[in-house]
Amino acid sequence: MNREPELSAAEQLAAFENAQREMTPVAKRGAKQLGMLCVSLGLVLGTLHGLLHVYHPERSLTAFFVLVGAAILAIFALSLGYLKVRSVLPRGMSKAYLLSLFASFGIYAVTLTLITTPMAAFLVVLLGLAVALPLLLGGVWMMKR
Amino acid sequence: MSEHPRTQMNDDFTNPVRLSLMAALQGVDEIDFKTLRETLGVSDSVLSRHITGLEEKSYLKVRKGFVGKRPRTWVKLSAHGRSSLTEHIQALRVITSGL
Repeated sequence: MNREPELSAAEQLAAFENAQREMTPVAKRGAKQLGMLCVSLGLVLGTLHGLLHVYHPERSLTAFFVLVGAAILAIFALSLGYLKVRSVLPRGMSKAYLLSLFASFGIYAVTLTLITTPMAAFLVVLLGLAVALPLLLGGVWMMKR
Repeated sequence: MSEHPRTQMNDDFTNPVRLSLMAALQGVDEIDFKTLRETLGVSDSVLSRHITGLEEKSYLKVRKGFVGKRPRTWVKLSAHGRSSLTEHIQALRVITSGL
């Protein structure tokens, strides 16, 4: 395991810092990929929530199932696409992703009880934004790191 | 009398490839083998050899899986590896601060 020459303390420190510098663009690329997944998932969930207010089960059961099915397919395709391209997961990003995802799903679940309640269009948009917000914020934070 | 910082140095990390490998892993939760090899600029065999050596000493965790039909190997630092590296770097900083 030890064919390469051993380094002095100063050389080791320089090699360590150099390796960390070389990792910076790689980690940034990984953060951008995960950030884009977060933003896309946020938009899918927010849009789904908004559309379910318009096409709720009491109004059209078929439209409801089509919308939910399309959203599941979109989430599946996005996740699969991410798994194919991801090469690096920067430190702390998996926790940030899970936190954003659970926050968005939590708001989605809580506000789902309101889908049959008649409300103004801007309130529907606001609820959709509230659902998407954790994932959007998480995604933008990742892409800006 | 306190111990000299050189006693805190870890002989497992003094090799340049191993040190670069550990440094690269410090900033990530997980990285795939191919990206790691390209970043470090080493061959498959050299990287495999060092990963195996560090994994045997529990500094690294290796996970093998598939994306579609393609096999992928993922590497990450273990908690033991992270703390050992931090101690080693701390010792290096103390030693070099006197130069």
